Amino acid sequence: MPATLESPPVKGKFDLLDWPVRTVENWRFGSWKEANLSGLEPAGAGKSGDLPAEVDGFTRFVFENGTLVSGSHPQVSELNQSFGPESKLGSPKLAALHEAQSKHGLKISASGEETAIEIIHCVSGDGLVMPSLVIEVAAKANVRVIERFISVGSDATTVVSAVDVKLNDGAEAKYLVTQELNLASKLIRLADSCLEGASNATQAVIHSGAKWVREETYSTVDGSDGKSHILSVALPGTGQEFDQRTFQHHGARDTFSDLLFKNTLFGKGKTIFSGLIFVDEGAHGTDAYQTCRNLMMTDECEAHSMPGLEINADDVKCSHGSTSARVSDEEIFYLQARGIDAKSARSLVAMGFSIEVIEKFDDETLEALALDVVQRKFESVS
Amino acid sequence: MSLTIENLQASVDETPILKGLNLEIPAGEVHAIMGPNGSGKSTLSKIIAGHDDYEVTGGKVLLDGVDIAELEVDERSRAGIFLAFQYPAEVPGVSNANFLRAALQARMPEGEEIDAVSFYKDLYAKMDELEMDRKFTSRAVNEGFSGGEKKRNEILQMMMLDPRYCLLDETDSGLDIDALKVVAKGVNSMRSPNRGFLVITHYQRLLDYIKPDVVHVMSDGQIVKTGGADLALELESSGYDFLKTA
Repeated sequence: MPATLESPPVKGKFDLLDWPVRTVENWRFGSWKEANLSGLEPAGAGKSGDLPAEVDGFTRFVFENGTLVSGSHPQVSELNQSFGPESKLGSPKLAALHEAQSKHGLKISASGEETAIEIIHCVSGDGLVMPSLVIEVAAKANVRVIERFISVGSDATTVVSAVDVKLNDGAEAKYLVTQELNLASKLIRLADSCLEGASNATQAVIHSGAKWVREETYSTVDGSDGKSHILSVALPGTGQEFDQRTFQHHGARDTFSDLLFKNTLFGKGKTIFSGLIFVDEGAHGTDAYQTCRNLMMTDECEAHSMPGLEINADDVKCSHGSTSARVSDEEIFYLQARGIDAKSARSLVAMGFSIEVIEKFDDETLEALALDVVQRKFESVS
Repeated sequence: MSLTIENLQASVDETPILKGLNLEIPAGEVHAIMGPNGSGKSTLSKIIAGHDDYEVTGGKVLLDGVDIAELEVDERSRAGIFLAFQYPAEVPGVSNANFLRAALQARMPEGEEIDAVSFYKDLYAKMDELEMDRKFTSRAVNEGFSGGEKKRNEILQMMMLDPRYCLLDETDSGLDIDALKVVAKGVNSMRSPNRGFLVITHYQRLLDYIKPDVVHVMSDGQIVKTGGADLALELESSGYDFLKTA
């Protein structure tokens, strides 16, 4: 039985859809059974936990499961229902579940020059938590958003998060997500973005915790001179699987997108990356890149990469690629020859591998936060 | 006090490379090794540093009388061995400054941290000496460096880590004459009664700037001739033909 569905039309939509199955291409190599949430009830009231240090210059909002316990900003309003996400990458049932169940979230309507918002989701309980986030950036406005997912305790919480980012002409957004859940929890994240006009968005995720992550990132660049940067650092270890599907949609002339995902796999960690660059007819002058790199720290980890391109316009520059490599023995020898022990040398190399992504944030505050999350993960696994 | 190599034998994939090599580098002296391609010069330096591609099948390497056979690569470094690589590795994403801090931190007693202010003061002074732009502190180790920049970076590391025995593996390759002079100046500034050097080179030119106390000729995995600084000049003019008739 699915969780309670109150709205009849939404329930109807939900009932008509199937849970993911092995035969769906968008679930290739993925643990589709993990996405079957039938019978899972909302997690209920949350708990307070130790919060990370506040980020300078950011206004903090804190949720304990579905309850907003602190935070206020003139450009932020509370959502009490889902905005109705659509999954175009294999999880319409999960999107319908979110539409039916999500009762909390935030809408950021950025209209100024320096809006900076930090959202912390403290999650707990063996059930569902389903936050929503809408980021709408007015023409020529500028916003920075940090969204963090943190477990309080060791409960197996399932978080289904949906995000809708919309940038108007000339707007700029930097949006960093850090996923630091415990190793019993799951995250399903449906992230859509649409860039109008000459807007510029950098969206980045750091996946450190969680037993299982399914992330679908659909980015549309719909205005000439729009620029979309999609970044990810994933650090799975034994018992962790991160399944990321992306779609870079170019819907207008002279648009740009650059995706860089870097996975460092420890123990028996597993990653799946499937990405498509799709250039519409008439979207001439598109400039699109997609790179997924896997650094294999052991012989037992597993990385699957499926990059793809579909180009329906002329005069485009597109590239896609994926590499998987072990830590270079030559680099380790070099570091050891300077007195750094093998374990620290491997950690330094792995850290360096992730830093290439983090430096692309081009924002010292966000970079420092991301580095801290990555550093803590390396310390815990090595 | 010396770095002593006794009857060292080593092979790679069961092919013998070093065939009973003997060498003693007392602290305070600069020894040069010259020899034709394939004689085992670079292999010798890597084996002393502890590279595991090579299997030591006999003999000893003694660091001030202590056999270092059982020491890992990093332990050898911390014990005082420094290898300046012929082809230094690139380490993407790890800045030079962080790399050097990690290397120095590894030498600190547990629980002690290196002092950041004095670290940078020392680093900048040595970079100035080597005429290195300070932007290299934040650049990833050797990534995108020219051949000459990599070699200067090797010498910078050597100066910062203050080793007891320095092995310079063809440090002159890839250097123009001006860079060679700067690198040699850095090496010469480190000469001291407490430190020994082993300089591996193909060319006399380097030895014009780093004057050796002793020159060895290596051939087929052994030291076959030893002499003073004049031996390098002799080799420069007459080559290694004498090895064929020996």
